This record gives sequence, structure tokens and C-alpha cells, in this order.
Amino acid sequence: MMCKTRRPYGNSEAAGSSFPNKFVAVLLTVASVAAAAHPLDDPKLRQCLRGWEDWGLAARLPYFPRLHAGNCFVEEPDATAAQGSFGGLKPRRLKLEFGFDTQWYPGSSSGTPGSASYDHRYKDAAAAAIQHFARLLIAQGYRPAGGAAATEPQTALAIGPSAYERASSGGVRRVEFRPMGIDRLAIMLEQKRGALREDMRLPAPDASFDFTAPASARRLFALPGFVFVGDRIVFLGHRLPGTTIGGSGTGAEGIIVKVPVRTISFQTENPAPKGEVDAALREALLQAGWKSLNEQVHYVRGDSLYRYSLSRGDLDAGFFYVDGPAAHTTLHVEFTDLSLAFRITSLVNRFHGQVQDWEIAPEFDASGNAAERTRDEIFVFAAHTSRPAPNDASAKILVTPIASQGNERARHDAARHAARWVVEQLVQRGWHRSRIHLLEDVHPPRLKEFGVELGARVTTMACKARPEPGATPEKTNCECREKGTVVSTMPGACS
Amino acid sequence: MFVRAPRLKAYLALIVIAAAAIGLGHVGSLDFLAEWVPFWRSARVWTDPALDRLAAPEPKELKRLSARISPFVTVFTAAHVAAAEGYFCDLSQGSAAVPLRVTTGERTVVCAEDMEGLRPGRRVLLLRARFPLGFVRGVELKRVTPEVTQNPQLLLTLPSIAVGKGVVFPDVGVFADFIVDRFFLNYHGLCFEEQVVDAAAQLLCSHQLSERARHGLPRWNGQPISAGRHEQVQLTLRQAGFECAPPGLDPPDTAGASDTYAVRCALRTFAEQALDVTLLIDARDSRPRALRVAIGGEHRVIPLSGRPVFEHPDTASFMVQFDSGEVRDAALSSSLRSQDTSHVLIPGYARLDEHSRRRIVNVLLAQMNDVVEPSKEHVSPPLLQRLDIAAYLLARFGTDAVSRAQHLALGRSGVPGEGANAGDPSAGGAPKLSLSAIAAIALAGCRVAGEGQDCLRPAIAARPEVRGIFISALDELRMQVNDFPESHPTRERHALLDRQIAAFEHKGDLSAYPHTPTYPRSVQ
Repeated sequence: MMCKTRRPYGNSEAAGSSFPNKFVAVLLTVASVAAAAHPLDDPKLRQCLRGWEDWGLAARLPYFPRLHAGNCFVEEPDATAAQGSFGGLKPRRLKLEFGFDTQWYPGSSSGTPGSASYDHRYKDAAAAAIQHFARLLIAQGYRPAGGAAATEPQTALAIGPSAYERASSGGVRRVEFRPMGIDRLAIMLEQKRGALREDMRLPAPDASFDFTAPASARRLFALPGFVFVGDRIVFLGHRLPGTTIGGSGTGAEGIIVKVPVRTISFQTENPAPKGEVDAALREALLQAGWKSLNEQVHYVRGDSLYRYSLSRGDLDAGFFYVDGPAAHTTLHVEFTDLSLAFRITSLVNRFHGQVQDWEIAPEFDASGNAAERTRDEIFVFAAHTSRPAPNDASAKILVTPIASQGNERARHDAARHAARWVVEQLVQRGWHRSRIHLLEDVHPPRLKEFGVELGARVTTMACKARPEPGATPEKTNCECREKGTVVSTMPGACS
Repeated sequence: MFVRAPRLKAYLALIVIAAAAIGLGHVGSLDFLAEWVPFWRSARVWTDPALDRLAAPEPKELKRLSARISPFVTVFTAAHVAAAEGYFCDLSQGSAAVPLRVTTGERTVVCAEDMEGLRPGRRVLLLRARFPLGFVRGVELKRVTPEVTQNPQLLLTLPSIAVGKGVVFPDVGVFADFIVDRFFLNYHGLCFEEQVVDAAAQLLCSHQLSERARHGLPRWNGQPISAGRHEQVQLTLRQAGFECAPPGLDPPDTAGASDTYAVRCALRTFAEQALDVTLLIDARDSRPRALRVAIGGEHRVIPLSGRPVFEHPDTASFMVQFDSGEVRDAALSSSLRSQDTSHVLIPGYARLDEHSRRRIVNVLLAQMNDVVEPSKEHVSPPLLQRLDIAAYLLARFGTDAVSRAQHLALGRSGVPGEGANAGDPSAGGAPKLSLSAIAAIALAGCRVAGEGQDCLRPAIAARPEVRGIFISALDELRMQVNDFPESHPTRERHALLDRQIAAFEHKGDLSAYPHTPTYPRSVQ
């Protein structure tokens, strides 16, 4: 037995917890208020028609009757149910309910509710509305379909079929008209399983999944027909109560922890309608083990939210469609590893304030792969370190091998190995290699803190060649400054 | 007088129920509260020191009762004040079948010095009051004679020991202060209720009370006062003891050439000082605009910042007057979905006075201007629907309303070049009409004329540009009506308008108007 959930379509009252949802909800609210200026504007009708457009159908209001909206619902199946029409998953349905105004029509016959003339007027209105929408559907490639369940109103108008379907690469879409009483009409929009859904297979995040590795996240949401176009990380500030900065308490205020949100963008030039892509994507995600959050949070046009539970914590993904020029549609996946948010708290603590340098002691397994903690560290450190400005030739990232004590050759080699790994990681994360200076040849300085025995220090510096005091102008020292103070001369850093 | 009124919200509900039960209608005075208070908590009657300062000197026997029992309180409150001075009022007067409270006119309430009733030689306080509300109109002290104990009616003929003069306003300025103060008390006087205000507010109230004692009534600063809807203003005046006449035109002899209605309220003090307050209401939006207060030929005008009776965004709020003289609030919605008073205005249109009809047409024209414009949103109803809805808004009021609109839109004679409404003083406040609104008026003309073939002729002849509006409306729907069966309402409507336009063209009228632009007839 499938349990359906019915959610108002485009309801802006129950704004969800995510920023984009709130933002869009505010925009919708503002739009609703502004639109109230026109007397014939009906905000609910507008919201219902938005659902019609999401199905790729042009929304055009009929001349007769004048429509006003009742309710619009997204009917969604319970994702946990095992059986259904399409491999365990029923299609999503959008139900739009409209009422009529007819008294303004020049040929409108008078009558009181319940009288024959009154009933006839509304039955004519239902039939006229169906004919209007049927015409639009046919113009957009729909054809009459069998299996219509509608009861045709007794009217002078022959309203013809009450269900229409269109086959496309994405499957079959069905639109069905259902008169409700004498003065209301429901339109059911249904997305059936199709070719797009057949192609759409998404991998489940397994134990090897690494949020911090760009390719790992990109693979997870690769969609057929969509080309990967971008990957960026934004750290959103979240106040974390009860945390401390560098050992000093901050009272009840807590500190701002920067939680990484990875946004992976895909693009297609010839998109299927959003509703169709969204339905197929939904099915693929559910099959891969994701759970829809749409039942719990506000559903706004064009976006949907999913969650995957890993043993170490949840992954959240939000999908947002953006129409671009020349029929480009971009799909943005905003992806968050909630467990990472907690793991990186202490790391971010170390980066509170202006970061000029940091130290890392990478750990590797027997195969040479970085440990999870190390991956987190390099991810966070790299994300919090300012990249050298392109037009500032003096800005350098100096990577220095460091070791606790002793002078054994092996220790020095291990420290150099760690420093080289750090350089490679920075390059992979977008730093230009020419701006990174690896100080391999210097004697590894002592570690400053944390009791790490081997590792690398990464310092943001401004390096400039200056004439050596008392020497000829040709002889220069490469002088590097950190926070305005000359810390050392670094041979080779100015080249 | 201020009445300490604990748990006032609960009492207010009780007052409403009590008022309804005894048939007092919509006028519910806070003074009724005083009588109910003892049932809940021991009553404390406060005097208003500001009014006390205005009281005229009076014989000492009255113990300044006529200062505290002012014309602005009811006999039910006055009974408490009298009781505090040892007079016990018989509020059960009148026959059992007609209790005091539902009597009308002036009655005298007898307050005996003795709880056992009228006894020879004892004094009796007579409170003259106007019912059904029971506001006191006079205070008199007499001595009971033996004859009176046999026949209480004789009390009225006995000579007075003392007659209270009560409050006397020295000039119209103080009277204006008093009226403004009534509004302040209405909105802020409840701060005496300790449950609804905090300690700071209580302190402020105490401060204000002591200020009233020291300086008298607060001086009105000349600024407009916030007054709510006009009914609320009237209620405030009635609660202050004023008796108000139904609204009428202001000035009364303007025979419909005014857009202001006046509610005239009056009160006579114990000393026969005539207090007049006139509430001025803008009939065009039903907002209260001003209070004109007057004493003995002097007057002041207190501007009001008020609200219309109906405040829905797509609803116009205004006032109309029937030939019978009755003035009513009216509202017209342009959305077809909001509640309004069209169910009264449309059948009653023929009984409205001239100026009210003109006012309705002006409201309709403004709404038609809005309706015919496309929505700012991307989904907008077709132009023909907007035109037809606008036409319906007007045509449902019948031929008179349509011809008034045509007069404003197309000119008095219907001759091109002589019409148009813009800036025409004779239009009487009519809005400037868009071309689409003029087209809608033409369609309304067709409706009331039975959709005849030639019904658009006068409009197009007078304003040839409107033809372009009709052509646009037809062209927008032309493609889709071809797919509809003959009997589809959209197709039928399209064909009707198409015929009406074609009929005009075939008769060659356009040649008479060389400036008429030529519109392509087909976009098929």
C-alpha cells in the first residue's frame, strides 16, 4: 500500500531550513504582494500555473471562463514503499484545481445557484476550459489518450477526450481533466517512466566516497545528457556554540565554523522539461539510496532536496535548475557532508582570524594514500588560505619541510615527502605551481606546536629581491616578509 | 469620570452581551461597566480632576456632586457617585414590564438619602437622564414632603434646594481639548487596567492624572488625531454623551453638489450650554476627515486621520445617499472575488441621489482603468476578457451608469473632438481614462443596448483609436477560436465583436475620419 503525501504546490508559508528555499520564498512573497495590485491577479492561480509550466507546458489563461485557483498539490508516493507501478516507484503527480467566474460573460445567463440555468452556465464553463487547455496541449505535441476517467459534464459542448499524452525522450507525460462538481475543474499532470529514467543511474555513496575530492563528488551526480561545467566550494559560516578559539573561551557566543558546501554544476543544451528531469532524477536518487526531504521542507519550484545516510553522518544534496541563454539549462547540485562539518570544527579553530601560515603532518597508509584526517586537513587549510593574487608577483606560498628534532637523513626525507605532497594538493586545488615555492634544501626547522614530528609548514609571504647591503646592485637577496616583518631570506623564492 | 475597571476585556464582552440583551443596539457605553463592577470587585470611582476644574460653583449642599456627575456619564455610573455621598438611586424605576434601560426619552431617577426610600424631611437627589443610554442631563436636590411619600410624582413639582450647573466650558478651545481628550481616553484610557499594562505605563497614567489635576485637560496640539473609521468616531462621541443625527450632506443645502457628509452631534450641559460636534466624512472614500466643534457661535476644526470603512486592496470604499435621505457606506470590488455591497447598490441604483450615482460611476471608471491593463505578471488574462470584465463592472448598473460613463469618455455630444474626460471640470472628479477603458465603456454600451450590430458605432465614431483596441483583442484570440467548435463561448464572443467591428467598416464610416489609423485585420 502506497502512502501518498500531498503538499501544496508553491506554498511559500512553510519556508524550509535551507538558504535557497528561504530566499526563493521571500522572493515569492514579495512577488505575491506586488502582484496584488492588479484586480484580476490571483496569486494562488499564478502558483498553480507555475506547476503547469514546470511540466513544460505553456500557461495561457482562457478567455472563458475566468479561472481562479482552488488548490494545487504535488502528490508524491512514499519512497519506502516496495511496490508500485514503476519498479517500486509511482510517478509524481501534480494536481491543479480551478474554479470559474462566468457572470461577466456577455452571453451569461442569469440564475441562482441550484437553478437549471446556473448549472448549465457552469457546465459550459468546465467544457470551455477543457477545450482551451486541450488546444494548448495538442499544439505542444500531446495527443488524446485512452483510459480517461473523467465524467463529462452535460453540456452543449462536446468536450472530447479528457486525457492527453505526449511521448518524449524523457518518457510519457499525461494530462487528465476531471470536472469536480459543476464549478470546478481539476487537471492532473503525471510523469510516466520513460527513456530518460532508463538511462539515469546514479551510484550510491560508498565507503570510498570522499567529499573533499572533486572527482569523487562529481561522479556521484553525473546525469545522462548533462555535461559537467563547474565545481566550487563555498564555506558558509555557522555559529557553533560552546566552542573555543585557540584555547581561550568565547563564552556563549561560540565561534563561526565554516561548513563547506560543494556546488557541482551540469549543463545541457537540449533539456527535457524540468518536471521530467526532476522526476527522473528523483527516481534515480531514490534508487541509489537517497531519501527525499521534500516532504519535510518547503518545496519551491525547480528545487528538491535529498539526504543520504552514511555511517559517519549524512550527506545532503539540493538540486536547482537555472534557465540560461540559448536554451541552456544548468543544474546546480549543492552538496554538503554534514559529518565533515563537525570534524573540521577543531581545524577551523586553528584558522580563526587572518591566516598566514599553517602546519600539517600528513599521515599515509601503507599504499601511500592520505588518511581521512589528513584529507580533511588539507581540504580545510587549502580552502582557508588566500590564493596569491594574479597581479601580485611577490605573493608566494612557501612550503617548508619541518621535523621535530634530530638530524637523521630519513626524517628529513620524510619531511620533504610531506612537503611535496602538500604542494601537489595545493596545485590540484587550483593554486598555480609557479606561485608555490618548495624550500626543500633548507634545514628543516623545528615544529612550532602540536607535537607533530614530521610535516610541512605553509606560509603566505611577500618576497622581493633586494640589493644586499654593502654589495654591488647586481647582488640581491630574496627577502620574504610575513605580516610585514622580514622573517628570512629565501634563496630562489623570488625567481 | 474615570472608572477603575479591572479585567476590562472580560467586562467589555459582558457589556456587549448585556447591551444586545436589552436591545440597546450598537451603542455600548463603557459607563455601563460601572454597574457591573461591584459584582466582580469592589468599585472605586475616580473623578476626573480635569473636568472637576471646569465645574461651575454650586451650592455646598450638592457636595460638588454635579461636578462629578457630568453630562458625559450615564445615570448608572452617577448612581455610584451618589452612593458614595449617601444617596441611593432607585434604578428599578419604571414598570416591571418596561425596565428603566429600555425606556426612551427623558426620565428622572430618584436617589433617596435613605436606603428605605422617600421619608419626609430627608433630602433627595434627582438625576434627570436621557434614555435609553441614560446620560445625565441635570442634577437637582430637593427635600421630601409628606405628600410625596404618598404620591412620588409630586417630587417633580417640589422646589429645589440646589440645582447643579456642572461642567461649563469657558471657550471653544477648551471644548476642542475635551473632544480630543475623549479620543485619547478611548484609545489609551484602558491603561488603568493593571493587567494589560506594565508598571511603567501605570506610572505614566498616574502622572497624567496628576497633570490633569494641576493643569486641566491636556491641550490639543493642533495636529490631526488618529480616529479609525467613521463609525468609531461616532461611537466615541456617543460614548461621551452626545446624541448624533443620521449623516447628511455638508453643507445641507448643497443639493448634492458636495462630497462631504456630516454627522451632527449635540449635547446640552446642566447649565444649558449647547455643545455641538460635527463629524465630516469624505464620501469619496468614506474616511473621517475632521471634527467641527462649536460653542455659542465659535468653532474649531480638528483634522482627523481616519481609515475607510472597507480596506481590501481591490475594493473601493465610499458613501452614497438615497433619495429618501438615507446615507450608507458602500464598497465595490473590481476583482469579482471579494465581498462588496454591489448586491445593494445595483438594485438600489435608481433610488440614489444624483451625486451618489456620479460617485459610483467615478469609482467604476477608476476600477475599469485598472482592470483593462495587463497584469505585471507573466500570466495575464486575454485582453478581451479584461475588456469584458471591465464592461460588466459598469453595465451591471444599467443604462444610466453606462450613459454617464459614455458622457465622460466620449463627450457630451458624442461628436469626435468634443469629448474626452481629461481635465474636464464637469467630469466631477472622474479619472482620466485609458483608451482600453474607453473601449470597455463602449462594450458596456453594447451590453445595455442588447449587443446590436451597430452598438460600437458611437464610440468608434467619437474615438476612432478605440477600434485598434478591439482589433488587438480579436487578434489575440483569433488563432485559438479557429480550433474551437462554433458553440464555444470564446468563439461566439469573438464572432460577435468581429461582426460589430465589421459592420462599422462596411458602412464606410472610417472615410469620415481620415486620421483613423489602419489596422491589419488578420494575423492568421
